[in-house]
Amino acid sequence: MRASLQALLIAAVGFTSIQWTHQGWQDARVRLPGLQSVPSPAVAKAIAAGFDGFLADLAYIRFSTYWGYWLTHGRAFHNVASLLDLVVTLDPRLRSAYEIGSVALGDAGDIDGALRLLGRGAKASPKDSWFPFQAGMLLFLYSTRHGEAATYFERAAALPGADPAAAFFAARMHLSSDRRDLAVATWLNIWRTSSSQAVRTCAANWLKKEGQAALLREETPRR
Amino acid sequence: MRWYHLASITFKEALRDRVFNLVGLFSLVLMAGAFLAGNLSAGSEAKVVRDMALAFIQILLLLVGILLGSQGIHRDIERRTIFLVLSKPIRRGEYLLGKLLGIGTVLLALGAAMTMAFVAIHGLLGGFVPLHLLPAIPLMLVEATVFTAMALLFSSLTSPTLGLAYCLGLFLVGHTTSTIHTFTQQTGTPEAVRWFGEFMLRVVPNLEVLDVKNQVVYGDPLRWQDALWAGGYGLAWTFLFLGLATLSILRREV
Repeated sequence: MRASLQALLIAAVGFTSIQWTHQGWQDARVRLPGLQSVPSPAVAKAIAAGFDGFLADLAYIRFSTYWGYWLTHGRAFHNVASLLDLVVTLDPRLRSAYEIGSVALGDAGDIDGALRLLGRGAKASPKDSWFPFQAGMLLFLYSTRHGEAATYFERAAALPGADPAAAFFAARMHLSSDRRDLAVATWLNIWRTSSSQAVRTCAANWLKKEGQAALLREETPRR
Repeated sequence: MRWYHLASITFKEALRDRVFNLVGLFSLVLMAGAFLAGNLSAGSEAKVVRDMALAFIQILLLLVGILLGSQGIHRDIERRTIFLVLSKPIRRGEYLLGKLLGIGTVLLALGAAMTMAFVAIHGLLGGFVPLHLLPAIPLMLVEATVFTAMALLFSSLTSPTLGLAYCLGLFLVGHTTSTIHTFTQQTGTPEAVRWFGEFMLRVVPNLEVLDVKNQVVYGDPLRWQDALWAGGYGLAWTFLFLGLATLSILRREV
């Protein structure tokens, strides 16, 4: 009993003094902002030994805590793109990594990084209209590359089950990138092909607003 | 039925070693992990908890299988119980089969208990465990059985520590043979390296076949033919390792 108590006491004093000293040293260090290194995705994938999904989750939690911290502490987002690259290499179907990651990259000013990330998602799920839709949305929100945004929205609109707003956004992006003819053609196409009366009315209103009401009289909807 | 008694003794020995305390550890870690994941994993909480549960079940089954297997014969020699057993009319192959079946039963019970703990914790978090996750667990049991047989083989050849190290090494290699093969078959790779990659693919057990965690977690259907083939493949390796262990123990002076 006495020996056990002595051992406990020695352990408590020993552990605390070592850890106390170490933590003091850590606190005194100059901390570099941001994430300084990220493991190579190819190597991590090769040695994951079947635990790819689990490791992707850990890397994703690392991303969300890291991003969340620096969002309110000076916005030092170094290597966020590399960390997300690691996450989606380990698990190409982890949807929230694309959802949150693309916004994080766009917000950090790395719009091309966000597009690359979404491009990888689109490659993994080519029939999912969300990826091109999100790419268009990010280009609209965080850049002035509206012509490129229109291309992404058109790509999204062409996929099955796409949000009806995708075609509208494509037309709006064409208009704001001074390609009025393409915008009119897109609205006319929506008016011709949509099965929703509300969507058709909206497209017709835009055409009238652009002074193209005559087109509506010439065309018959093909539904 | 002599192997049955040996299996029963092995099972009881594992009970005395408090192997089933691992279920409590598993539950605690899973609950803590689920709580943390809920706060930190922004949008993929359910997926993180499922991945974590399946990964822990696999790791614990493998560790228990390897540790019990690698200590199995060694402990019997140390305690000299092996002399008592082998002085009876019992073949050495039967002795090893009994050990394997005993450890296999421990793994089965442990797997079932951890699955129930997972189902309960998932239920507490507010949802039933999707049924499509469950086929992954029997395949994990088969993989753990392969490693138990491998550990028995190493246990008959070397010390438990080295046996453990070999098993862990083979686990890594077994899960990376396809990747090694892909890397070595790139254009411009020297012929010897390409041949090595091909050799690895043809000779080393490909344990990826038994690993469907990433598939089931997204609800991808698992064809029963594939599951059966994978199970048969695992059992074939198990019996091969068991046969080699029998040959090895036959040559030993015990």
